[in-house]
Amino acid sequence: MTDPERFRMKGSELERRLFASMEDDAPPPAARARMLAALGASAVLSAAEKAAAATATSKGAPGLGWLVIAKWMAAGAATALVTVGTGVVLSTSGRASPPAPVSTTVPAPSTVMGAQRAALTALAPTQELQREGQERTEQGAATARERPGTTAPARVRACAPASEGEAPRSSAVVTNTPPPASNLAREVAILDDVQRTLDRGDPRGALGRLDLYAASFPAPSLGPEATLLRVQALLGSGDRPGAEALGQAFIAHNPRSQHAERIQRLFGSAMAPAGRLLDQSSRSRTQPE
Amino acid sequence: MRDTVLASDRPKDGMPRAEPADAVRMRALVTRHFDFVWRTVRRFGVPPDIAEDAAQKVFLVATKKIGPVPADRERAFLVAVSLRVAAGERRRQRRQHSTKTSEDIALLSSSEPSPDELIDRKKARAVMESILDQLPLECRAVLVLYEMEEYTMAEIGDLLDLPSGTVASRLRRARQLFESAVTRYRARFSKGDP
Repeated sequence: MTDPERFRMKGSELERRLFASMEDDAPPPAARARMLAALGASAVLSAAEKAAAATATSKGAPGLGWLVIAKWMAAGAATALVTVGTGVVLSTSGRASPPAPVSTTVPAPSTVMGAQRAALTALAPTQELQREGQERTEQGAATARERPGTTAPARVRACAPASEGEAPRSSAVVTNTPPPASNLAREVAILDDVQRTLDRGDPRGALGRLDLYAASFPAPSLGPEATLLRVQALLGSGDRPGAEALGQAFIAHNPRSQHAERIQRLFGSAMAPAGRLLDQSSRSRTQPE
Repeated sequence: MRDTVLASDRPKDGMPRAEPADAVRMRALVTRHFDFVWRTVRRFGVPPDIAEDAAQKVFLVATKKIGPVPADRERAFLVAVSLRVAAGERRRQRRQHSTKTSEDIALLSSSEPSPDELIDRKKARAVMESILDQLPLECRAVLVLYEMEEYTMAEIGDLLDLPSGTVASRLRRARQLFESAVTRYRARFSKGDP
């Protein structure tokens, strides 16, 4: 069996141009990092839920309390792995070779507890979050003062193998001073929860979580994703004018965004052009997909 | 084709699921293959605005099912899942935008650039996608892997778990369909159609 000559070698000029037009295909710059973050949350959630379910079964008490505990444990473990996983991405982003295995797959108990705490605070009341954020900032500053010249985030340091002669790190540093960069993991975890809430058919619950998200992350990394989810939630809860207002505002500010296209699709062809939304928002339109 | 592709992705009783111990493998998998998977689902016909979602879906499937896949079969596994995800997405798009497809075709025929205008890559890309969309997915997949990813036919057979004769016939068919579409496109302009 002989392979035929490829179009780019023997094809016409037009055929070569057509194939050449697809050479630039590449994902958005941050797509891989988002994938890794989502992956960490998903994998550990699954494992932790399974472990918790097994524990509950073995004790013969699979009541609501156990399920709640399992959920919290899962969320905490997910946050731990996402945090560590993102650190691996950051620390290996410039390498051609795959990341070397690091001792992050089985987080130390102290790390897990710290992550559980982070996950719990992700769903805590806003004031508490703000207070804790302030504390973390102060703690982070204190840590930086203690380690002059250190610029890498703590989570990256925690992932890196200890070099020869380096003193063992104190797990308390990881546990007590979660770095600000772990916000991405928390954002992913919350938005993942919002998506699941929407999937369960609870748009009002999703809106509540999105409000919490907005209050917790004034400058979110995943703002467009949150807006898309909010539009979906508003549509699901019957607030089409509100959904359209939000959608149009987003599209007006981000006309070239991929999320703008997705929002547009949520409304179908009935969505008004940017700037005309408020005039048309009261009209009856087709139901969302 | 579809059955063959689905075979590796079909749930099996007792199949081990990815555990946290596999997290390192998954991270390595994403690091190595994410761009390829994104490109593949895109070229298999997933629209650009949801290509990232589709790529994520591929890896989330891998999270659950990569366990028994040998390291040297990882890319083949990802191609198979990508094909399945792309097929599902194409079906969904057809269901939700059945009228949009015909509108797009009409729009393309009325506003598509002439061959001379294809210097603009974006315009060429739009024409290319419209041509590829006319191909059955099984032919499109072989064409994409052969012409764009530059796999050999033997490698494609390995990736898609297809006999070499099937790969050859699908590639032949895909190239015929592609050339016919290009010829039709060119003819419209040579006859003076707008």
